[in-house]
Amino acid sequence: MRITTKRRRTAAVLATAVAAALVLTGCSTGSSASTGKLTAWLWPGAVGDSVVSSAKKEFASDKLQVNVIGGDFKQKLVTTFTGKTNVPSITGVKGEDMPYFLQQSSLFTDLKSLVPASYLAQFPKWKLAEATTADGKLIGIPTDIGPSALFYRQDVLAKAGLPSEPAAVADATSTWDKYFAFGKQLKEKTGASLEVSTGDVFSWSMAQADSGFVSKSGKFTGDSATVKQAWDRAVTAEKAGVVANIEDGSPDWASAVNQGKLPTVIGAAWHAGDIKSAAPDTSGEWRVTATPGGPGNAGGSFLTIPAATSDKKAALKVIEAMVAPSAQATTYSQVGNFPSSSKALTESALTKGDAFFGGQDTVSVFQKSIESMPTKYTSPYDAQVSAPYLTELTNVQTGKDPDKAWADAVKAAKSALESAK
Amino acid sequence: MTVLSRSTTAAPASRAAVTRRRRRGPGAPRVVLYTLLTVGAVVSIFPLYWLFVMASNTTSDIYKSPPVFVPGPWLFDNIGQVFDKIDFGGALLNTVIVSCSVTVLVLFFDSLAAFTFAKFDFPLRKTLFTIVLVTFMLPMQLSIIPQFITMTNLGWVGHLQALIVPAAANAFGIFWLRQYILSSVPDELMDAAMIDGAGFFRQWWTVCIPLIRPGLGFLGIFTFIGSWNDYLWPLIVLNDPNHLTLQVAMAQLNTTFANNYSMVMAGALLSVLPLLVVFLIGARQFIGDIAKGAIK
Amino acid sequence: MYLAVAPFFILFIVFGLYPTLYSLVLSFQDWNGLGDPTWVGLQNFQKLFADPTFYLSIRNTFVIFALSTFPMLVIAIVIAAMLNSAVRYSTAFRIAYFIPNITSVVAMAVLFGSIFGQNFGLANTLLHAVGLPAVPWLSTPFGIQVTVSLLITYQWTGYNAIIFLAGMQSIGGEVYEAAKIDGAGAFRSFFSITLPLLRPTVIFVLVVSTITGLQSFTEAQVLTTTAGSTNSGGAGQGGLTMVLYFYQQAFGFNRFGYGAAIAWGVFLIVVVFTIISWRFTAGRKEEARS
Repeated sequence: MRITTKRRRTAAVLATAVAAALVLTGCSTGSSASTGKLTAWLWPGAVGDSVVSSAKKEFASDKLQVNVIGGDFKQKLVTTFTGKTNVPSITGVKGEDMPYFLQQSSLFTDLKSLVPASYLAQFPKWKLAEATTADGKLIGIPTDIGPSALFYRQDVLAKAGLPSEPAAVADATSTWDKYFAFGKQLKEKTGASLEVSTGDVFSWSMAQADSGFVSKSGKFTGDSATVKQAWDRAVTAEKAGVVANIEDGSPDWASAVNQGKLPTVIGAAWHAGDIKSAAPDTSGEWRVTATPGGPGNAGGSFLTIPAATSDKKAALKVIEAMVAPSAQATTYSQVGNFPSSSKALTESALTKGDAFFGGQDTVSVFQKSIESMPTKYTSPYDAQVSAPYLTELTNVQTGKDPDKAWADAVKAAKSALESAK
Repeated sequence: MTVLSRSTTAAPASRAAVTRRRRRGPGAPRVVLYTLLTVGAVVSIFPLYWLFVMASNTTSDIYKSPPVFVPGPWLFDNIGQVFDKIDFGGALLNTVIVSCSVTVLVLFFDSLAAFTFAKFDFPLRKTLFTIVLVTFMLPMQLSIIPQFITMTNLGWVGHLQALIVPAAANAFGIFWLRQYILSSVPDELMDAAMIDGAGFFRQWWTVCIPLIRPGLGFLGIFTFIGSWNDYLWPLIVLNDPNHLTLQVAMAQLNTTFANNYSMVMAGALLSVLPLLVVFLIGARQFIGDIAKGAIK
Repeated sequence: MYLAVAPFFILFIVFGLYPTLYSLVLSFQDWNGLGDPTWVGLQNFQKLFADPTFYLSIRNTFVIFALSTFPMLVIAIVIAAMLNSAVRYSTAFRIAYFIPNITSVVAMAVLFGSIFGQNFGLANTLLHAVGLPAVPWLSTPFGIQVTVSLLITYQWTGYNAIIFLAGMQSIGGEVYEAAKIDGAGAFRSFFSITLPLLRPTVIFVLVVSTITGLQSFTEAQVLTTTAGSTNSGGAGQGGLTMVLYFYQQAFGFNRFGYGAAIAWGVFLIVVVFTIISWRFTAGRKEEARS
């Protein structure tokens, strides 16, 4: 059987296709980090947008590339460290992930060897301690800290006939019980919810507490009185009907905020950024005041230099530019992250009011929060151990008996700790 | 949802219509039949229309309750933002490269192997084929972690080879094509070719391939779509934010810019379009191939 | 000859056999990918057996599987039957029904996330319009499972309908004629002729759906990953499928050994269940004959 010319042509095309496929697999369209090129990985809202753009301009000669990565930032970072390619020169590390990375401190550069002690003096000692290993290695520079406040829509509250000035609201919500009573009134008059979910009530109660789920020695403390109190509070909120039962940060949450169905929320300073980007049309109507039940401490992240970075001095310069007092002030006005540097507090961007909050001087509210907020130890297993509580709270929402849910949560948390160690 | 349940409960009427048509019965059930089919077709396509509506409005329009039902004037604005925020063109190109390469490699290697298993007897044939069958049953998650470690050692993490090369070993394809060859390539043609002096590769190319074209078509489409939609493995291994495939880039868009919802929708619309356009161009061929290839 | 099968086998050994065997080894180790692995014997499996989250993920996966596969099979057969008897516009209909399958899965998951939004989604708006209460689609575990199932059903019904259609069209008209002569009515004809002759296709579709359905990842992950919670399956972990749990443990918490153990657990479950569903449908075939 002779091969016709048509078949020959098809043969040639196909052969080229196969060859091309093989060649393409051989050539890489991805370029690994080459020398002279700095890459920085941040998540949305880590620092203000203009801080990023001015850093790009300032370090254009170093070919600084800033990647803003959403989703599970920690997972991408860990996978990259394990995969050993495309490791960024600089990376942010979220506050809640820092305990985990402290256990892998060999992945990072000891910043104490790069900066003088006088530079570190501007940051709170307890925050630096969060990024310091047992043998004194400092792996991260704090970008911000997370004091809490109560964010609220003064127009929605005023329309409901409730107090709407910061001092009056603080008075009416000074304890959790008063806060829930306030929420009941809010629900009756406007149908709006007080808090996003029972999980949030639980988490913020824990953020206000002095102890957590796992002690520093690794012992399980998830059945302590502190945790039980947080749990009971969440269940009370559910029974009072004041929670919206939606996922924080989801499109559902964003639409509720836009529609005014979530006019009050307890959040850390950086939560302002979430509100600002989700509901820009509501600018001017928000205010902040003291947190019900006392100030809490949640979040506050770091910038680090992975050990694999070749040009550590240049990387440090970028970090210093991003956490410079003026940069921190800009970040505060854009995304609400409260500055970690004491020097930033005198910046003009911070002393003038915030238009999104109707010109209110929000800094003083957070500063008051800082004065009495707890600064406790967070275990690297915190995320896994706390997850069952949140799951069981959702089950309570859908009708499960709270006591059984508590027992199941404690049991699951214990085994999560055992399994994770 | 209400629409779907309607079509299910109306099934008996349509089944009656099936048999009645064969008896050349009355026309009324025909109307019911076509109405139901049209409703189902609308349900199939409606989400895409909805995507278009959301992609062409602003975020606050989307969050309204009730939402806006008609397209707005913001489509190109949103699309522009998508290209601004992420390297969409790059992600699309990467996906095309990966999917095409994988499809060509799979068709090439699998048809060769299937042809060999089907038409030739050689030592170890049974053993090797059993191995193929076993592989077919192994889920991909089993190999993900070690494959990641292998990629780390090869330095391929973050590169497209990590996606293309492992996918080229597709046991399903061998199994499938072997079935097809067994039923479509008569031994007489093979013998005729051998008498004409054709060697192994010539037999494969001139006898086998033309006869299994629909089977190849089905496998090719199946592989291409599967590769295009691959998400778990690229999510793990493509850690360079500047070199992603479409699915991972889309997920990135969704989580990084969650608050610019209309832009996220525009991105979703853009990622749906390429495959849709290709499909509509070759639709008849597509569906024909699937139908012919599937029943063998 | 060996040259022809060699490329496949080389690739298979490097990317199929070796990783599988290595993952078995890994499941007996504890490793975070960065340091050195430590040998822990059966400990990972012991932890797995006692892991309530693993059982939760199994339950979630099976709920999603049941909700998506069985309605889909029924609807696909019905659509195929209708397409079989529709002569006009048949290509147009087939194209329309096939379209959901060639959309990009992540994009559709994002789209469904917005359609099933609680306060603003189209689904609740439609329910509201007919006087029904709004459903918390993505805020409760079951709601998440329903939404994921709807997405999977949407994507695969048309595809399977086309396959069933091909199967139906290969049934010769003589069989139906003979039945008509024997006095068989409409339903009888469908149940006694079409369905049994379609059985191989049904088995094929069911087995493939089982294998892919039990390993579902993308839909659940995209629908439940928001800015606030990542890879944990959303509210009440309702969307935490087995493979999502695997991904969370292996790459989110960097526990390679435990992740490998989970993967083997998933494999065993898939194998067992596939054999069960094969036996079930093949067994019914025997009954139908007698």
